[in-house]
Amino acid sequence: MSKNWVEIIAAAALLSVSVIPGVSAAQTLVDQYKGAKSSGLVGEKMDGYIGAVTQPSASIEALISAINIKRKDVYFKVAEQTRARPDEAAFTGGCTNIKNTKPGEFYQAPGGSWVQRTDAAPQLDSKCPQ
Amino acid sequence: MTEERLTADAKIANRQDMKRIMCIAIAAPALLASGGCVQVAAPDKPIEINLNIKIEQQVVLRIEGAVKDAIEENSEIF
Repeated sequence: MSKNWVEIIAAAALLSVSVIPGVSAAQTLVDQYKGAKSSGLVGEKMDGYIGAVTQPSASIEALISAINIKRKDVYFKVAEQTRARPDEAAFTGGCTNIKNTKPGEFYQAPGGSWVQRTDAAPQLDSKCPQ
Repeated sequence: MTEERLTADAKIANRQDMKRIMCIAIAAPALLASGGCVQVAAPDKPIEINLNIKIEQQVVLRIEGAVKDAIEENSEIF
């Protein structure tokens, strides 16, 4: 193998090393979130955001705020498109998110307490579309 | 009442006023020196303002479709 080839391979290796962490970091956040959700550490709140079901560790707290910041962006965009208020978009999202919970996952009931989703329909706020 | 008596009363009154003034004059700098100013520290947690604005069901129904679409498009964070 010529020296040029060695250089090209080395450059390619460096490039892949510098690109992959960015991808895996993004996957890690989503993976962490999905994991925390299925293990009951985080649940769906009525306001459209996620919250800690039990006393959260620092990493879970960081995860919650990272996900909620992204969600806020989505809600704000929908609010802008529909000429509604961001909190209205977020609340409407909360109804959908709670409906979308899978059995075993947690959601916030109208009283404010955390409820584990069963096969039955979730308890929704009276303003949620039925 | 004699003139002498009135003068004596006035002297007592003046003395009491002076005491009061002296007290304020001493107390004010003492208060400032001993941290009499209001200490303002930045809170370590973000301030949460709960406006508790009423959500209208009409609005919820109107925007439900758009919100659902947005959630589906960003399913990785929902």
